[in-house]
Formats: sequence, C-alpha cells, structure tokens
Amino acid sequence: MEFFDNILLGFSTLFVPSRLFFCFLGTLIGTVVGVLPGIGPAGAISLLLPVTFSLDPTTGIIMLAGIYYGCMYGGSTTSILVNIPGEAASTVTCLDGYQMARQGRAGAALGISAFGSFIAGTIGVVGLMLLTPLLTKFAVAFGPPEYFALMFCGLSILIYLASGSVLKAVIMAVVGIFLGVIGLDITTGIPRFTYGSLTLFDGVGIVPVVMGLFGIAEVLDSIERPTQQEVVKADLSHLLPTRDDWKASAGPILRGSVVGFFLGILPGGTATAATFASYALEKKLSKHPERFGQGTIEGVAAPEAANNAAVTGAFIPLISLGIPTNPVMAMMLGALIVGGVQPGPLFIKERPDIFWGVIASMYLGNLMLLILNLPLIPLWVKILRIPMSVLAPLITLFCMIGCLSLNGNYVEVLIMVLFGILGFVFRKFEYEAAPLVFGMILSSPIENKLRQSLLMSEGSFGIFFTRPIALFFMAVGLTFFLLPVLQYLWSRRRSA
Amino acid sequence: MVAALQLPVGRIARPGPGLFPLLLGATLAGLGLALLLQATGTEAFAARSFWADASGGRRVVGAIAVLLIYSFAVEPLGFLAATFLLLAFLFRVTFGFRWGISLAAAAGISLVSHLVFVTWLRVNLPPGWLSA
Repeated sequence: MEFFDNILLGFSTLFVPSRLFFCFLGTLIGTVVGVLPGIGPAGAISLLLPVTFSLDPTTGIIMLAGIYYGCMYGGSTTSILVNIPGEAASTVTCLDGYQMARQGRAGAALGISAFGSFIAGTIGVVGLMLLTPLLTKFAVAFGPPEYFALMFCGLSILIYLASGSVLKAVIMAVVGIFLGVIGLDITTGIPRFTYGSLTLFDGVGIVPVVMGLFGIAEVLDSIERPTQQEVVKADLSHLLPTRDDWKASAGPILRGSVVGFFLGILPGGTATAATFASYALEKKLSKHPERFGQGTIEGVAAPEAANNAAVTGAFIPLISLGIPTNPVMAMMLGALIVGGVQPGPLFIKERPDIFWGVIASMYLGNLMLLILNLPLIPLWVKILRIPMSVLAPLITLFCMIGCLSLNGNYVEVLIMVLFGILGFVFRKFEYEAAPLVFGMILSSPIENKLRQSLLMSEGSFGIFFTRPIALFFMAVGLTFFLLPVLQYLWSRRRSA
Repeated sequence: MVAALQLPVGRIARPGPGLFPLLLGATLAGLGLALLLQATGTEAFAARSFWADASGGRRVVGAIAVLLIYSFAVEPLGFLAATFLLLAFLFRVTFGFRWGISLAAAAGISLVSHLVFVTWLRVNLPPGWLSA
C-alpha cells in the first residue's frame, strides 16, 4: 500500500495550479527547442536555469524535466521534415524519417515517433519509479572508492560511445576535467590556475561553457554556411499510424525503450548513444535490414522510443547517487542544490514529495506532449520555416541573457564567447564537445573521491581493486577504455 | 596541440592541491604525443583548408569580433544599448538584411527582451548608463 500512498503523494504534489502550469510550460518550451535546430536541451536548460532559482525546487525540476523530454519529442519533427536533427538525439531519425517524408509518409513518421515517444516515456517512468528506491538502498554501500570507480566507468563509456576518434574524445574529457580544477581547491582553499581573476576563484562556470560550446558555436557555424534546408511539403492529414505501421513498430518501440532506459542509467550513456544503439539493434534483428535508410518505419520508431526512455533513465543515478550522467543532468543537479536539496541515497526518504511529484509530472507531461504534438505539428512546421538568419541572432541574444543573468558578470560572457570560438574550432577538427563538458562536471567529485580514497588507503591505489563494487566498476571502465586500443591493434595486425 | 598549451600550466602547480592537475597534465602530454604520432601517419594531415569559403570566414571573424566587443561593452553600456548594437550588427553585416529592417528588428527585440527579463522577470542584467 505504501506504493499507492507514494503515487498519491506525487499527484497531490503535482496538482497545484502553478506546478501544472510550469509542467506544461516546460514540455512546450522543450518541444520548441527540440524542433529548432541548433539549440539543444543542454543549452535551453542552462538558459532557463536562472529562472528556476526563483521557483521552489520541486516546480523547477518539474519544468526542467519537461524541457528535457519535450526536446526528445520535438527533435524528431525536424529530422523527419528537414533532414537535419532538431537536436543530437534525433540524428538517427533523419535516416529513415526523412526518406519516409520524401515518399509522402511524413504523417505516419511523425505520428509513430509521437506515439513511440509516449510509450517509451511511460515505460521509462515506470522503470524510474520502481528502480530508483531499490538502487538507493544499494547506494548506501557506496564509499569514496566506489564513487570514483563509477565515475571513471562512466567517463570511459562516454568516450567509447563518442562518434569520432577515441583519442580525441579522451583528450576532450581530460581537458574538461582540467577546466573543472580551476578555482579554489576545496580541501585547502588555495586558488589554482586563477591568474588573479576573481571570477575564476569560483571556477569556470559550467553554464557559460555549455552555452558557448553548444549555442554560440552553432551560431558561428550557421554564419559560415548560411544555407537553409528545405522543409519537405508534407501531407499531415494522416498522423495516426495504420494497423500495419503499429504491427511493424510495436517490437522496435518496446526494445528501443528497454535499450534506451538502461543506456540512460549508465553514467556517460546519453540519449544520443541510445538512439544509435537501438537503431543498430533493429537493423540486426530485422528480416529486411536493407530497408533501413530507405524509409522504414522501424527506423523511426526505435530511436525515438530510445531517446525518451534514456532521458527518464538518466534521472536514476542523479537521484539515487547524486551523480549527473550527462550535461543536462548536471544542470538539474545545479537547480536542486540551489534550491537547497542534495540528491543522493537519502533523497527519497528526506524529500518524497519532490521525487514522487517529479514522477507524477512525467506521467502527465508525456500525456500532454502526445496531445500537444499531434495537432500542433503544422505549427512546428511554420517555426521550421523561420530562416537561420533570424534565428541565429535570437539564439545569440538568449545566450547573452542566460549568461548575464547568472551573476551579472561580464567576464562570464567573455568566457562563453571564448568557448563559442573554441567549440567552432573543435567542430572543424572533429572534436566532440560532450566529453569535455562531462569531464568538467565530474572533475571536482572525481578529484575529491580520489583524494578521500587515497587518504583511506594511505596512498595505495589498490583500494580501487580490493573492494568488490569498486572493482566491478573499475573492470567495466577499464574494459571500455582498452577496447578501442585492442581493436586498433587487432585491425593493424590483420592489415599488416 | 591542446595538450601542448596545457602542459606548462600543469607543472607549476603546488604539491598537495597540485597532485591532481599534475596527473592530468601528464596524461594530456601523453595523449598529445599519441595524437601527433597518429596524425603524422596519415596524409590528410594538412590537406584540408580551415574555411569552407572566404566570405564565410570573413563573416565568422566579424561576428566573433563583435561578440568579444559585446562582452566588454555590456557592463559600461548596459544591456539595452549593447544588445541593440550587437543585434543590429548581426542582422545588417552578418546576415545582410537591409538597414531599415536591421535597425527596427534590433530595437524591437532588445526592447522586448528588456521588458520581459528585466521588468517582468526581474533578472539582474547590467543597467549601464541609461538608468544611472
């Protein structure tokens, strides 16, 4: 009965007019952000983070979560109709979604991605609801070495899943960790690498970096190549999938949900990685793998389900361990901490209202999105026709406002612009920004846990390999770390 | 390249709080070396030019310059005035709208955002000399 009490608590937390409004607002903003190429969930949430500081933490998280999963719904629209991903996690959807649109089946593609997202989102919330309390019990056994090993494991998985060169991804992650070191040393209070700048005493803020790397860099990118992609003229009258569509998509949606959910839980497993994994899985399982890329509905249903499930799964490590698994989750963590709430093993016990309230808001938010999305697709199509020459200055403006509203410090604007330039150069040389941001987020917890562990073991690194849980994560992490090296050596030997 | 820039910074750290940065610096140096070895093995190393075309490059450099100027100008000028100038430049020079449209859009957007964020949401943006 405790379970139903909790659900009731959740919905009673949620059903306050202001929370319902912000839940709705979050999903709406999320969808728009998802539809618009160039500004993803990380950028959008970092822009709106200062706004949530004035809300109570429950409402703030409800809205930010709404933006995150709303993005996943919106991103597919752009992928299908324009063949450029609305945000990174719907890159795979372009492959088959755009082909379907060209064949006049845009309605079916949009419909199935909305329904697939809804089903996966709901499955994800059920999983989140059931698994988090379990994991929380498990998390009490975590000491510094276990946390360190887990974060190490997460970083190596993210690096392994990075799309380009593994070496470049490792470099980006280490640079990120290094950036996180800047500022006052927590244990001794000695400033490190601040070069006398007062702004740097607090460290390099994650928000200006994220907005620079994702927002400003995107603007610069669009300035260099001002081409406007054509929106496919789509017949949007048949949004409801036919029975055949359902038959083809049911399996992919369910499998996509499971794959996405578990990849979402893994630290370093992003929604984007989940979409690639589930697309590959469906292609492997399909009787007609040659149809993938030609506009098959499975190729839309599976990744769209996966990214929604991944988004929900990502809340589990944040809530039970207090570890953000991707840049967006780091923003959520920031919003919670500013609101005076520290996620971790004790979170659900101390603040059941927040946990169950957010769960309830996800059920409702997914439903809102399904209802919102089907009739509003023509409106999104109109938004898509806005040329980049109008959008780019607006994105710049929002980055500036978001950055200034943090502390009203112009040095942070400078940091953001510099990271925008860096991000632009990184793109040119095919360095991915995600490992850098992730390294930066994990930098200070990794360093602290490392130091605490070394204190516990009196300087021996053996502590990470003698405790079972830590050993497990270290082993998984090292495997993913060494796998590319082995693959490289292997392919070399074969070609030689 | 990135590694080389970071390396000397890693070395001047004090011991104690410097242990972790030192480890990172060493890792980066190793990685930089590995990248160099990998890159010299391939021929496409310097073959690609950085910009897709010259006019695109000019536009980007112009935009970068104005963004940098903005970050220094926003405090003395204030959000409203600095943003108006930034947007006007982006619309007119970078994206080639006509003067009339550029100025009107820049004025409208910066005013509306001032109303929404400063007046309505009470976000602290630099006021500058306008309200002083």
